Amino acid sequence: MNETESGRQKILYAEDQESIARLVEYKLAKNGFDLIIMKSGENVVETIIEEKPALVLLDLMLPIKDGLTILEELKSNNEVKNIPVIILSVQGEENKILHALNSGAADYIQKPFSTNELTIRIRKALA
Amino acid sequence: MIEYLDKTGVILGIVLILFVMIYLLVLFILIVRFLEQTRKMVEKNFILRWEERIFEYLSSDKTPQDVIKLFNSYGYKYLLQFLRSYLLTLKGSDKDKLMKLITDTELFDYVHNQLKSSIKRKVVFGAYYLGLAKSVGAVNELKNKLKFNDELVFVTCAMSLARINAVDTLDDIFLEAEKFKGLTKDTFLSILLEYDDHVCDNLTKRLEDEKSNVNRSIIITTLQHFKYLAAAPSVMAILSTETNKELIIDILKYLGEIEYFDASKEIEFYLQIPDPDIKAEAIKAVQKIGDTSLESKIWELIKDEDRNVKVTAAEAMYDISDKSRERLKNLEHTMPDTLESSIARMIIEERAIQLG
Repeated sequence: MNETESGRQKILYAEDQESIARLVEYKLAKNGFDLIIMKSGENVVETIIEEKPALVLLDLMLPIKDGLTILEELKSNNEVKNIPVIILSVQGEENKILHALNSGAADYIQKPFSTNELTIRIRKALA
Repeated sequence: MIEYLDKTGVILGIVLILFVMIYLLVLFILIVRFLEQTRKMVEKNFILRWEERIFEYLSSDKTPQDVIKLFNSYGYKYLLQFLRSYLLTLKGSDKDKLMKLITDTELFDYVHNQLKSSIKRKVVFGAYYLGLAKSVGAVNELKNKLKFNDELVFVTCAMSLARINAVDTLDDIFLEAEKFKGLTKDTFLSILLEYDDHVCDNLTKRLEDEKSNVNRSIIITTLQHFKYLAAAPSVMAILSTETNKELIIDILKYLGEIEYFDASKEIEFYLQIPDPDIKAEAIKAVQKIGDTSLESKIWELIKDEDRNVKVTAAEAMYDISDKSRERLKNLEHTMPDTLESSIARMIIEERAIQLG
């Protein structure tokens, strides 16, 4: 399920900044991943349960439902709790980072970010 | 009868005027909406057409000139707006390549001409994008425009000079800032924080001669942000003679942040003065420095009459050493059913939650 028909791994990316989501989609597509982009926190958990992506990339400040709530819901759901989640957020306060990592995030990347670094961290989280 | 007809005529006239005004207003709103929708459509079409070419450029060996020559100059404005979110959100090689689209091509002349304009809107536009692209070639004009006699232009140009990290223009920024009485401390601070840590050396030199307490406070807060240890002797020299409460608090914050152990004796003095705000800040400094020799002084401050001082002292006792933490935990037995024991319990529970 976590691969598309072409054998490429699926990544779900929840990000309300459309321009950034499109760039990440372009870069990750070049590196062999297919992206499912969601512009708000609405139905993200349901889509993950249905699509079973190989990895979830999550912004924290999302409309309707914030990233930390989504992370906590994912980690308490037996069906999807093992899917690695990487947080990609502008928030860099220590307590936010610790909260996300304590809640089960595999990694935390702060914006501004490098797309090359993001690709490497995704590969590492999937290894 | 004639009077009645006159009155009716006046009323009809007013109704007619109101009707025409409403009609013109609706027409005006429709035109504004149409222009806004057209602008959005042009922008959307622009993005659809050019986005992939920019993305392609980021993943290829194409030069910035190869990309810019594909654009007509009428599209430069949209291109800059398109680049904005990427310049703010990316770092590394992607950002460097995007910055070169502005600094190393014809786009630079377009933005630089905007900056050179005498129209405020254009100057702000030019200054903003040249700062975002860290354009060293724009430093002289940005420095000139600091004297434009407008606060928004000053802030945008100063911010851009800071983003470019033009430390040589620091004195000009301080000098011109004095002209704007409405410029807040926070705005000035946000300008200085755009520099990288190379600004600290210049700021330290400036601090030694600075007479304004507001400027001293802004400089010390910037040094604190960069955790710049080398400024400690200059800052300590100010502390030894200073009586201004806000400045003393800023200095204590700085000394705590850089964990300056040599300042323990001076900080100890501020643990004993009556002002609760200064006392609380001195406790936080000891907490960060971790000087165990001041543990007993902090312990006494748990019994201070000010609640904030009590809480800050309890937090410090939790952090200074394992011994002080044990002492805090035992407070429930040594001082049962007191405000002090409630505070201790609150701190211990809060930390347990934070640690997960």
